[in-house]
Amino acid sequence: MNDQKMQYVKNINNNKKLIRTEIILTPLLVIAPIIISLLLIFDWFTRDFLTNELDLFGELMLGIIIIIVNIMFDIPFIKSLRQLSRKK
Amino acid sequence: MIDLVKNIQETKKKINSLDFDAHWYRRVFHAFGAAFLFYYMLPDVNWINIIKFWVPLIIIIIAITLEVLRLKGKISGDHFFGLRMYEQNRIGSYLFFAVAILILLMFFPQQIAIPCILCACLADPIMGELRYRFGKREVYIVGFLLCLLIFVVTWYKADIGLILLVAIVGAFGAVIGETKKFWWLDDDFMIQMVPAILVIIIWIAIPHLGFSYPEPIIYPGIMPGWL
Repeated sequence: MNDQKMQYVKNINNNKKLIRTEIILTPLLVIAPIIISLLLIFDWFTRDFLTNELDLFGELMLGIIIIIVNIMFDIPFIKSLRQLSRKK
Repeated sequence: MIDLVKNIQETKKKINSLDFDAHWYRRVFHAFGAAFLFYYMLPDVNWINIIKFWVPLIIIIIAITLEVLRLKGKISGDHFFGLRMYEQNRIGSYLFFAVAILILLMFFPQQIAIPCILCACLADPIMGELRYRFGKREVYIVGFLLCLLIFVVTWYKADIGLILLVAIVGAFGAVIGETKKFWWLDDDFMIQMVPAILVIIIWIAIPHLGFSYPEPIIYPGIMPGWL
């Protein structure tokens, strides 16, 4: 696929609507995966680490992987939102 | 009062003059998909099972409806943030991504669905990011290793031979799925479904290979007493 086709649909007329969508969805996109990964880690802590009820090491690993990758992408995303440049 | 009106007008002006980059938005959207693993954490109770069946289905139906309306021109494409030029006149990748997740959650055992979903949610955006810095070969090698790691972590309860077999086949399938782009079928769908189909073949053959089925990775939560 050529570079032009990979460009994002963006023009002066839709800028305002698009940025509004982005800002509205941001909390959900950023917070939801972090909460889920913390829940996975918490589940491992309560049902495996404390009580040894089940083998939930997999949940711990998944929680750690999800939280690391999400934070890795959340930081530049939030930075890009904060550093929105003015249109020429 | 005048100051307030001025402030509002200035804020409006600022918002209208903002420029943005959809690049990181798409990356975060991908990573967000991992939140769907919450599906497996829900308690195994009758009414929750009904919700588990209907809610994802309703979300997909709404997304399909929106996409059909967008393609027919009934809804302006201006409301769909982060679309690429090639998606203007075809189904958006987000729908392929969501449909693949739905198929995996509903029809595949979680031992297969979880790593395949994570390959699309975590390995795919990392590979996409690496593509800006390195050559194709390096990207595919790193992508293969990432997917391999995801499969090893999710299948750690299986026999060692089975872990190796599934991880290599699954990671290979994910990288193949990521590399194949068609106009009518998105790589966000392929990266999930190709490894899932390959691994389900191994899953069916597990008893014949002399291995035993691995235990689930995520166990359903316990219903709180007050519910």
